[in-house]
Amino acid sequence: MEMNKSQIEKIAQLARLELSEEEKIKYQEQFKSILGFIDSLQEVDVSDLDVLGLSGDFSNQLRNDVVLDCLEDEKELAMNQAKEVENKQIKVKRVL
Amino acid sequence: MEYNKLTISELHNLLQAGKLSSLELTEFFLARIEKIDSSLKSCISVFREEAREQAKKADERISRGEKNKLLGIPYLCKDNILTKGLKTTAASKMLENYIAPYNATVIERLNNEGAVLLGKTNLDEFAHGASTENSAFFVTRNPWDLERVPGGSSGGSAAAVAAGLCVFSLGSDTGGSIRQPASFCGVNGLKPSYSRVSRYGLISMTSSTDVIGPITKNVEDSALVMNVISGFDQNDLSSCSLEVDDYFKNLNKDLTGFKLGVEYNFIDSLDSEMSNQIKKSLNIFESLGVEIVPISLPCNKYAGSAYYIITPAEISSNLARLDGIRYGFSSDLKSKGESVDNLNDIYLKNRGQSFGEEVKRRIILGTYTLSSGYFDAYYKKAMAVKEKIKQEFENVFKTVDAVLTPSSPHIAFKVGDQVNDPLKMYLEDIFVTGPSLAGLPAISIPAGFVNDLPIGIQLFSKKFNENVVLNLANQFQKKTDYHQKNPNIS
Repeated sequence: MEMNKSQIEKIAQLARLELSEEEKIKYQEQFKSILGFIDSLQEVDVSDLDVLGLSGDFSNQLRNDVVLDCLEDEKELAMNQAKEVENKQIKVKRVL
Repeated sequence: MEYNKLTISELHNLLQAGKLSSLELTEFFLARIEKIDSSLKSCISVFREEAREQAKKADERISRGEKNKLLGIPYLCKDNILTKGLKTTAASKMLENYIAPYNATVIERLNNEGAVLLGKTNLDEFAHGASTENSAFFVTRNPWDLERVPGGSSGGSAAAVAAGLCVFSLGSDTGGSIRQPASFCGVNGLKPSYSRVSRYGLISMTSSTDVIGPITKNVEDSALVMNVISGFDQNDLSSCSLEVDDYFKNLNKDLTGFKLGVEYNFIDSLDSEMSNQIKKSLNIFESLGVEIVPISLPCNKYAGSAYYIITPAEISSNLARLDGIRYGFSSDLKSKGESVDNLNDIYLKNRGQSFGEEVKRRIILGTYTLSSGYFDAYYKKAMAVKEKIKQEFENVFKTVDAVLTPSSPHIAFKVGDQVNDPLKMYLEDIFVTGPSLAGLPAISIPAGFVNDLPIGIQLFSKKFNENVVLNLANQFQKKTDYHQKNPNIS
C-alpha cells in the first residue's frame, strides 16, 4: 500500500495539520516503507478471533455522573493558559 | 560522601538517623545537575526553589517521627507527567510554555509520601520515539558515551538515574519507552501491568498501553517506588481496583523450581557478543535453581506492525485536543504577515507549526489507518493480532512462570545514526512491544556490557505479577554487580 500526495493532503486536512511541500514529499517516501512494514499483518490468520471489544481482564471503572467543582487555583491556572480570555470565556476566531 | 551511589533504603536510614538532611541531599543532587547536565542534557526543567521547600518540609516531617520510605528522597520525572503550577512540556513546541493546572496522581502520591521533585526530564516529543532525538528542545546524551543516544522515549529519566542526578525517576512506557532506555543506560526500568498505576495526569499517547513506571539503580528501589505509586484511582477509568501487593516483601523468595521461558530465536538473532552475554544471564538464573524452558513465540514478529497501527491511531485521536486555543502554541500570524479567515485555519497553523516531524508522521498515519475504507484492513486487523499475541503469552504462562528476552537488539547507537529512518527506529522495540500490547508487567535490568556499553535483559510475567518479576530480577541482582557499575561522567 502507498499514499499518494493528494491522499496525504486530504488526510492532513482531516487531521488539522498544515504541511509544507517538503514535508509532503518526505512523508510520501517514508510511508512506503512504513506501510510495507505494517502490511505484514495481512499474512496473519485471525478468523477465529472476535475483536474490538475490551479484553476479558479489563473493565471500565465507572462512577456516578456528578459535577464536582475543582479548586479555584486550578481553575485559574487552567484559564491562564489561553491566549485571549474575556469575562472568564476563551475568545476564538469565528467558526465559519 | 557519594550519595548518588546509595539506594533508597540506604539514604532512608541516613535521613532517619539524622546523619543527613533532605535539604543537604537535595542540594547535593541540584549541584550534580548543575555540574553534569550541561553535557548530558537530561533535564528540561529544574525546580530549585520548589525542591528546597519540599526538602525542608520533609525534614520537618522526619523530625516529627514520620518514617515513609521515600520521605525526603529526591527524584526526577518525565516531562509528560503533569506537575501543578510547574512547566509540563512533553518536549514539544506545542506545550513549551504550558503550566499544568493539577498534579498527576503519581505526583500527588509522591508528594504525600514526602519525596522531593527536582525537575522534569527530556523525552521524545509526546513520547514518540526510541532515542530522545525527537525532543523539540535538545538531544539527551548517553552517560556511558556522550556520542550515543540514551534510548527513548524516557531517555532523560534513564540517563539522569545512570549519571546519579537523582535517586530515582519516573518514566512512561507505551511500547518499550522505559525498558529500552533503561537497557541503553544500564539502569532498572519497570513497566507495570497496564492499569496498575494511574494514568491520570499522564499526557495521553496510546491510552490502551500507556503506563507510568519507575527507573531506578536497583530492583529494591523499583519495589519501593511501586509501593507508593500503584493502586486504584477513581480519576482513571482504566485503573484496576485489585489490591496492591507489598512489592518489597517478596523480593527474596527462593527460586528453586521456578520455570523461566526463553525464546532462543530472539537470542540467536543478536550479534555473538550480545548473545553470549545474554546466555551468561541464563547460567546465573540456573545457579539460582531456576529451570530454563525453551519456548516459542511465533506471533511476536507481528507485534511491531500491530503496535505501529494501534499507536498512531490512538495518537491521532489523543492529540486532536491540542489546538492552541485553550492552551498550547499559538501561531504568531501578525509577525509572519499571515492572516486567517476562520477557526479551522488557526488549527491548521497552530498544529502544523508546533508539532515535530515524528508527531505529524504518526498523526497522519493514524488518521489514514482509521479513515473510511482502511479501518478493517488496518486497525481491526491490528486489534485482532494484539489479541492473538496476548493469547500466545497466556499459553506460554501455562508452562512457565516468567519469560526472559533481550531488552534491545543492540547496544546504544550513535546520535544521528537512525534519525532519518523512522522504520528502523520503530524496529528498536522488537522485544518490548509484545508485553506492552498484552498489558504485562515487564522489567529491564542490567545484564553486562558489550564494547563497554550496558545491555539489558527483559523479564516479564502474567498480568499483575509484578511480584514475580521483581523477585526474579532481585535474585539476579544479588548474584551480579552490573547494576552497581557507574559511568565515568563528572
